[in-house]
Amino acid sequence: MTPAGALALQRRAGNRVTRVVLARKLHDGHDLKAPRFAGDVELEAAFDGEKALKRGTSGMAVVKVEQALADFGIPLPGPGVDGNFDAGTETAVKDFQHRMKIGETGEVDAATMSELDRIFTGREIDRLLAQAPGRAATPAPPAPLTEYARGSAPAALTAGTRTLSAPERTAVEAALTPTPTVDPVTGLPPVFKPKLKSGEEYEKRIRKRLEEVLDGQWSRASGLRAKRAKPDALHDWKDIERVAEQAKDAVDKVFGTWARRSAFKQGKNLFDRWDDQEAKIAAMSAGEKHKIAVWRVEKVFRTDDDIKQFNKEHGVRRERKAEKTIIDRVEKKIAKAREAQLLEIHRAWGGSADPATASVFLQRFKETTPEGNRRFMWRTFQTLIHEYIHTLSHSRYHAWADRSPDERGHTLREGMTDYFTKTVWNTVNPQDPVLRKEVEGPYFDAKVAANPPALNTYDEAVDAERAAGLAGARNAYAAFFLGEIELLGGS
Amino acid sequence: MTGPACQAAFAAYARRDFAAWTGLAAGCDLDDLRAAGAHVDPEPVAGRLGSPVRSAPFYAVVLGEAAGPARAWVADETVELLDTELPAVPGGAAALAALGPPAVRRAARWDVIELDDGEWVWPERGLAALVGGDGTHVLRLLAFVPAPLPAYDERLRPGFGAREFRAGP
Repeated sequence: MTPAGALALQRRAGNRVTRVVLARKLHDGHDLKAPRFAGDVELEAAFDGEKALKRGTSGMAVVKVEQALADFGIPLPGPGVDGNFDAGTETAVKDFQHRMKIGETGEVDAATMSELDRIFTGREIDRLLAQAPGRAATPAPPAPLTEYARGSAPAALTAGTRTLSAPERTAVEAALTPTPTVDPVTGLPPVFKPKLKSGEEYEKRIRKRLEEVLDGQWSRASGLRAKRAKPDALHDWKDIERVAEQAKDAVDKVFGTWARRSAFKQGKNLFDRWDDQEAKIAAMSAGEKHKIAVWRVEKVFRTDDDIKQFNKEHGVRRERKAEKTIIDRVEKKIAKAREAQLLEIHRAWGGSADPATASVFLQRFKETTPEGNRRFMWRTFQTLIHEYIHTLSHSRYHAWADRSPDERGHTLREGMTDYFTKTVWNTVNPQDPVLRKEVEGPYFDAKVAANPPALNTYDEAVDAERAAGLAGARNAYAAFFLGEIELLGGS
Repeated sequence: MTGPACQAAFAAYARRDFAAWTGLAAGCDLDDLRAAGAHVDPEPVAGRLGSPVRSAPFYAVVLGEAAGPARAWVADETVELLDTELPAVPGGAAALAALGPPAVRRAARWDVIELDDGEWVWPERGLAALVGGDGTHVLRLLAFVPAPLPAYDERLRPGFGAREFRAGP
């Protein structure tokens, strides 16, 4: 259960009930997996066979089921997705149960919930909806630079979208904005504890962990300058451009009816990260270099899982003065002591993007083995799928993400892009010899199986998928690709 | 093609000669750029400009051996913005002194850091620059058809920030 869900339940039913519900419904080894359902107490209860959703039920759990049925392609008679389990919903549930060959009870029971979860844990529905949102004639692909003005997109692309009710907008907003840390019992911001009862001190813990992480980053970055000086140290641009073409093709096959852009080309919108940063750092003042160093330490603070855990244990909220003073002091001290290392880590960072120029900056270091190089190429393929999807977002959506608070902005940018990246990656068959030759290039070896790394995605992809589960995948696509941000609660 | 005024402005931008700079001429197109000796990539890229941000295409161009690569942002087939990253400017930011003091100096995000007073804009002269290194280095050089500052901000100003990938070194 999400903290927000727990809080809502606390307010409604009190602490004792919440504890019981949490204990029984969640993390009991039989939990829903699809992000659009997972953590919803009522749906988990249905999944556990404890309480079915049926006629007369209402609320967001019903919205999620109705929207899932609609996304699956089952018409909802009457008012459609409205959060009220009425006769139309019952008919739609029976239709679904009939298709799944399970008991046609008209109630969302354990078997029904299990089937829904199975279907939406896979990504086939997302692909089908993306390729043919109207489930009828698919519109012709737009020209590469086309960005539809509001209301001018082909009707087939907005078919099946729906206006959100006020409660739905609130629920989507909550899904898009990861809940700030609150005390699970009081629901209030946590009290900062600089020292735990165990004697562990926050400042010492974060300093030690930051140093550990930076030691690791430095150990990987420190040899790269020397490596770069050697001949044949870098992958050829033509190999990377070929991977970029494949990434574009993979995305276009799924989302090509919504938007298309040109593939990444070296010197135009594809650059070497090391060269770029080397030139930039050379132009910086001492003060600007120090800012880079502090930023690097802060990035570890924001992203490291251990530090996130420390922050929970010590009740930390970054923005409060007491915590901020400690964190800033630690970061500045480390940044000053390790500035040269941090600048080298910055040059050696895996990659970056410039949203204004739709440009990508990548490292091109070769690995030491053919297997390592094959994995590099697959990782680059995954990265460029993600980056190409970024370039497809509508300007209106982009502006919405930019003006959103940090957490929601991050979910709209990275979470939604990764949600779509998962959909595309699910359509890729890495064992396809034609694709393998294109992606693995000079390292292709028919005698060994393709072994791409697991797709690494931001945690916020789950939040984005949860929001799409409430608003509907079609609404999410229309918001992202067509700028119809109101369909995802934007304004 | 509109001719000599366009080519003269493009050539001055390529030479970083801003002594008599009055901005890009209105209505210049890619043929003018080519006539000024630039190589223009045939395929545009969809970028983003302005605030609220809008989709805007640009062409990768090479303005000559000395000036190096740049972007020509176009609208209705006319060049509305020339944009160079880390331009070679003999004399550095001091070379921009010929323009007089900028109408505005303000903070700007560049890559992942904030440049204090790093964005210099001469809207009526059709030039803007990101300046770093304590006011010594030109990090980005933008030439445009002269426009009031609000119009420049609304229509032409690109975002200068970067988004770093999650995977480290």
